[in-house]
Amino acid sequence: MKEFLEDKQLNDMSVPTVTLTHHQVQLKHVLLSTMQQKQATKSRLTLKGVIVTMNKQKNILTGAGIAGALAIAVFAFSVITPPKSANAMEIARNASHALMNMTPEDQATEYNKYRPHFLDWLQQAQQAPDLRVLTYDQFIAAYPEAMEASPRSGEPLRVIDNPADGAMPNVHELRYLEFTVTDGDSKSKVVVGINAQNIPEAAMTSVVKMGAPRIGA
Amino acid sequence: MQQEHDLVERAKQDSTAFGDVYDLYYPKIFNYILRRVGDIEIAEDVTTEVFMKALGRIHTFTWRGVPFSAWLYRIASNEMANYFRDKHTRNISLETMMEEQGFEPASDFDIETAYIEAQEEIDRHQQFLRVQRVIMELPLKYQEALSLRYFEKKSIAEISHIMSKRPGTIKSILSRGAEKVRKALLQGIH
Repeated sequence: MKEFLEDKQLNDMSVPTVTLTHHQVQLKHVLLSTMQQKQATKSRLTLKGVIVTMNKQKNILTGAGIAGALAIAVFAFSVITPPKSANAMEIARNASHALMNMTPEDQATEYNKYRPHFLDWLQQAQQAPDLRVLTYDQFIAAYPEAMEASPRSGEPLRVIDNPADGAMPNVHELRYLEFTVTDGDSKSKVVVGINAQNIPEAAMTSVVKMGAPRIGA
Repeated sequence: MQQEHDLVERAKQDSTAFGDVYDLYYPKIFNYILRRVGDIEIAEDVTTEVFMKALGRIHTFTWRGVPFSAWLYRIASNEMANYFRDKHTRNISLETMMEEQGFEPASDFDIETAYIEAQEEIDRHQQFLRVQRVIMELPLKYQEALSLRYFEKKSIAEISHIMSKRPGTIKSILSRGAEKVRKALLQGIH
């Protein structure tokens, strides 16, 4: 093995170069398909946020008469409904506060795209009479479909894969705020997963009542 | 460099651009892994892991004077470290992912032919195989530095980027590593 005594000879050593076309092509198919599914997931998450925003704006425009009626309804509802968990309310407030006070560096990250939607949801959460907080185990028990991940179907729980702090979310450690969002006749349960730093990192919506389609809506 | 920058930035959002990035780097990354692990099927599995990780993390890549290729090689090195540490277990099956996404697998005949040709290419490089066997028995930092230098023909600066170590440290690792290789070869162990 005298030929390898010199560094130059190691440098000049010929090495094999292999081409595996089938693997390269198959992996590319899977990667691009996965990327397209992820983009579709992000679009859906964004769309949900837009829907919630539209609902809120619509509510503002309903007029004082309806507001008065709502106030009576809310009062009546609050009498017959158990008070919402103080802990859940505190988590929602802290998360809103954390999102509103993100540093400019954090706001420069990809996460900032989701921030307005999470803020919107958290405001809705604070107004929802049924707001409650769930542990991971309680969340999975209530929504067994949540973690049924499959590249084909997509998992119902959308976990933000580019959080502000760069670390991948640990779904076991999130606290899950659950509340109902009403849109006309439709009702959906919204679940927002919040990490220990009060930053939302996951979200899921589950339709509990499908309303009739509205013409011209 | 500017072209690479533009392509990678587009690849963060655009699957076509990601496909272009993949086509550009797949041959380099696959062969780097193959030359490190010396087994075609394992190289396929580790390469799959590397590009799945790259897809999941590409949005976190920021330009701080380190080329994108160095970032990919670093993922590859980490995945190989995982592979060696986890006693060579396979984490991702491309076949399973293909099935889940409804793609038709390539025919067994085509795959078998490709493996035979690949193995023949490896077997034609007996000097490489002798050195590779020696390097495989060294600690990971020597494996990584020596492979990048002598198999991938990377410069000290590139290896420094990939291994996140100062050039002086890389030179020292290479010098000690090459000495270990020479001693082992002279002793005729391999």
